[in-house]
Amino acid sequence: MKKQFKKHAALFMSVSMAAITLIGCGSAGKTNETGQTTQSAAETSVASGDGAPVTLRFSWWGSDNRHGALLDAIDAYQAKNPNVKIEAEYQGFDGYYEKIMTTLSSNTAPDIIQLNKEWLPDIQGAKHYLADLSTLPVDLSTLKDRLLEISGTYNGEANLFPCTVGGSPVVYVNADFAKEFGIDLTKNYTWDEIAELGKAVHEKDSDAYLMTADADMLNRLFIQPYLVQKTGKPIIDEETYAPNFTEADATEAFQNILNLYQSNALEPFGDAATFAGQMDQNTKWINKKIGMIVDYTGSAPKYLSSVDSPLEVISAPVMENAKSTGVVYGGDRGFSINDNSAHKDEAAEFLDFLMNDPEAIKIQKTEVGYCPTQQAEDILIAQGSVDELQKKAIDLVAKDPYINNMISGNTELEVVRKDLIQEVIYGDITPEDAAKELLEQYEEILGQLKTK
Amino acid sequence: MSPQATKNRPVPSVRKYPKNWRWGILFILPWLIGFCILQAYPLIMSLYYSFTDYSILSEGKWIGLDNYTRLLHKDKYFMKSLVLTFKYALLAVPMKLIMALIVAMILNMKLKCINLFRTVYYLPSIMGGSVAISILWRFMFMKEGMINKFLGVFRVPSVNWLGDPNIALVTISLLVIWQFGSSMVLFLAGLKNVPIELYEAAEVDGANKWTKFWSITLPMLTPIVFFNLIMQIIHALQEFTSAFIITSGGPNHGTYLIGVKIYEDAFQNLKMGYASASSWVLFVAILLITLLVFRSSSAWVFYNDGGMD
Amino acid sequence: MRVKKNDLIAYVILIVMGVAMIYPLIWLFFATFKDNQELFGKMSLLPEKFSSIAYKNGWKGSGQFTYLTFYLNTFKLVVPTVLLTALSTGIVSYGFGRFKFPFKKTLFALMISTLMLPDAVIMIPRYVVFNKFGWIDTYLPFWAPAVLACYPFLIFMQIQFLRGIPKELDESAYMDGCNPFVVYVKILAPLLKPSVFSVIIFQTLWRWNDYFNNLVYISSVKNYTLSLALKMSIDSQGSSTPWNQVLAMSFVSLIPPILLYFFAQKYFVEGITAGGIKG
Repeated sequence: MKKQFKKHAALFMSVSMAAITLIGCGSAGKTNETGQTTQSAAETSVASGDGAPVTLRFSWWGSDNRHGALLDAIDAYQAKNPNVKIEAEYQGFDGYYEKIMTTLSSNTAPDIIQLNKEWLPDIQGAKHYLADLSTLPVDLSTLKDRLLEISGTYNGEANLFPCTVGGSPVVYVNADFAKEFGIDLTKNYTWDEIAELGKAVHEKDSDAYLMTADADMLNRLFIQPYLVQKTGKPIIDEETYAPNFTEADATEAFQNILNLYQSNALEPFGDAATFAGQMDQNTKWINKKIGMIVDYTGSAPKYLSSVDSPLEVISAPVMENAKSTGVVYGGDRGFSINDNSAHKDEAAEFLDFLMNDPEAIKIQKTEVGYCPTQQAEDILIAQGSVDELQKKAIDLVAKDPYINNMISGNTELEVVRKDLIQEVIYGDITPEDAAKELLEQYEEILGQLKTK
Repeated sequence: MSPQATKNRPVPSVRKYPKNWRWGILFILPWLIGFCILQAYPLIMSLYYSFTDYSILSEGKWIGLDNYTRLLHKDKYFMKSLVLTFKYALLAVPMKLIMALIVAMILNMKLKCINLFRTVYYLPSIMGGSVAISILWRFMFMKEGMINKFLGVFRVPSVNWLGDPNIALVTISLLVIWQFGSSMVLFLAGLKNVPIELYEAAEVDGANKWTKFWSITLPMLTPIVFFNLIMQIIHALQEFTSAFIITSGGPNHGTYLIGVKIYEDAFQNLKMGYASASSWVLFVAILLITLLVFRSSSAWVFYNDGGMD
Repeated sequence: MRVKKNDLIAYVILIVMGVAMIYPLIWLFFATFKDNQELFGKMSLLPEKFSSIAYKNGWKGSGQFTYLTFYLNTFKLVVPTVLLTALSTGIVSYGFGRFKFPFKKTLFALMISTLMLPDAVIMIPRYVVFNKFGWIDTYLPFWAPAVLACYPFLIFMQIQFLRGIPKELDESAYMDGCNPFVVYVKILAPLLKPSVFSVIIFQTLWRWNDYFNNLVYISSVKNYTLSLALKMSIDSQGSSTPWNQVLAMSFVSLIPPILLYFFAQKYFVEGITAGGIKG
């Protein structure tokens, strides 16, 4: 007994000692922290001025094609501006967001940064990390209609130069599959018709399904558009921070997903989950046992290279008497300039070259994005660098989109939806209960967001 | 001749080693400096963050215990993922250690080409958590994957390895068990540390293989078993890579280990303060379990050095 | 005859299990010869045709730097880190394992406890520290922790091995008038070869495969290591990835750790020779 106590005492001692030692060392570390803010992104370079040598850091994510295209564009710019040296910091998509967040928060971020549009509220909402592009020497007027407003503006300030234009949802269709199962591709399907069609497909070939989707896709490309079609408005009101849909609407949206599974229009969720985030690698899709995938316009290249059949693209399903198509249109990606950059003007000049100079456009083709400016579209179509399928997909979403707002794309809200969808699919809760819980959780999250 | 004589208890052994403690401090000095400069600050800061709403991009406000109360009362996934993580650890750690020990015993035999075999068994561990692994695991465990095909040969109905939330956890564990190489290496090194004289003496006494294993090999190996156990527990309770690269925590949170949740909260949901709070709860849980194992060690771990002070 | 039979059983077990263990890797290796459609669409082991194109194109990287650069960078990062770690953690474990000093238990507990917090929450403050030192985009965030023995796993591990060695052995040397440092170098270190090589093997492999720290601390592509290079062309967002190239380079990048392991093995086999220690 006594020994026991002794051991406990020793344990307690060691833990508290640990704490003391920690605090001792920690405060020493903390005093260092204050002198840190002066560090700037382009610290290594010499002070700028006309013709004085400048080093700019430029970071992006992408595949080898994009890396090659942007490196070539950089070379072209450096040839014209020998005083500017641009250091490329490129990588794949995974880890990019984490890296940018880390560097932004420590004031070590690059001068020019590729960003996803959805990250704008995270970043700019936290602090004024990104420069107001309208005050810098970059021509924003070249951007296509309303693109800047929809995709590059936060709090009324132009923070992102969209480098692509596109939207969602569209449906990629395997043309061979469509032929085999006699699917009419000229038609604009309703959700119910998709369910029926899926049923017919699966009855004809028990190995085959009409569509497949992972949790993320169900959330962004099924549930959200469904709610918008139902109400004709973005899911959350920007002014009041209240949901624009009712519990009944949400129930219906969840039920719609269940219907698609019950009619076997969607490949069973568990099978599809294996390919979450990589639907182009779905074995059934590659082997023509799945005929349709709902996705963004930007995914066209990915799906094109995944199968040897020709692909078609059609409009996303809508409900009967829909108040909206539920289609969003804009630019998901773009370039921003670090507000703490020591060379914002030079960075803007480079960005202007990258996006608006015909030579740069010709070099980049559509590797960096799909024609955000009319000029790019004209040049690239003339040059024959535009992919037919992608162009068709973009024409589809550009036709009759609704205008979404920032708050409706909030990550926290999306996570809640994604979790609930899966619980519904696995039968943990009914669509009714899911809808109820959705609204309860939204109320809480939106309440918190509003007070911020 | 039993190694039990060297049991780790407060044995009044003769201490001739330098009484002068300065030597000890001198030798651990590199770590002590390293700890103070490189490790203490991050530890303290994460504790501090756990009481704020810090989000990486914006300095946090002090919100007291809010994160902790929220974790324990409002977050429907926190306890769930904590329980899941324990399940995972219970599944993966013993399997991995037993596997590693058995293989190490066999690989310790004097056989031809043994170097080659040792390398083969270590290869999966060299792959680590690379992107190749996520492709590989999918190929093996998807519905029409290799494992199901193999089971089909024996008329076992196919299993939904990655699609069934309850089974996906097993599938993830299999990856970690497959990569038992590091534990195996330690066991191999430990086995080589067993003095041959012990076996020779036992043979004189007429001991058979089994008795030799139980009364010599295993007791002499306990320091390494102990080490492996502690480290695998600590590691398993923080497991992130396998669940993240193969299933990203899904489906339906079937592999939503606490490590994945913390990562998602920290970097995807931008709640570093909240993630820090989860981490400290996890920290306490790991600490308690580790202490328990440490305390139990006096009963089953045998040291040759007459006890550390 | 009995021994032979046992060996035979051992071989059978080793081969059957070995094949099961390594089959997936063989599949991955053949996958380097398949294009994406074949890779993801078919279940066969052997590729339709063999060609080294994935290796050739993969080696070129993004075009700006080839894998030669990434290879050399990885060596530059890993080799000093591993050597310094072996030295520093060895000494520290000696300090913990053989000496008495105030607060030893506390310090030991503190050391182990640094393993218990997930990296995700430690990463940012650690970055802040290294940034303050001006070490971002250098390999110092990897070398410095090695010098300062910030690898509790390896320290603890070596303590365990050290404790397997009877104290009398080194004590007698100390009594003969050697200073403790000499005792470690001359007497203990040779006995601890298996554990030192475990340290080298583990540390090499971890640093070689480590992705997250590399991602955060290294910004310029010219300083990229293999683990960064391997993910450099994977844009899960939209474009398709030439997986055969990624897999091919994964294999190429693993050759050094495999060779190291293969050749370091003999130091396990040696172990402690007879006459060294009396149990």
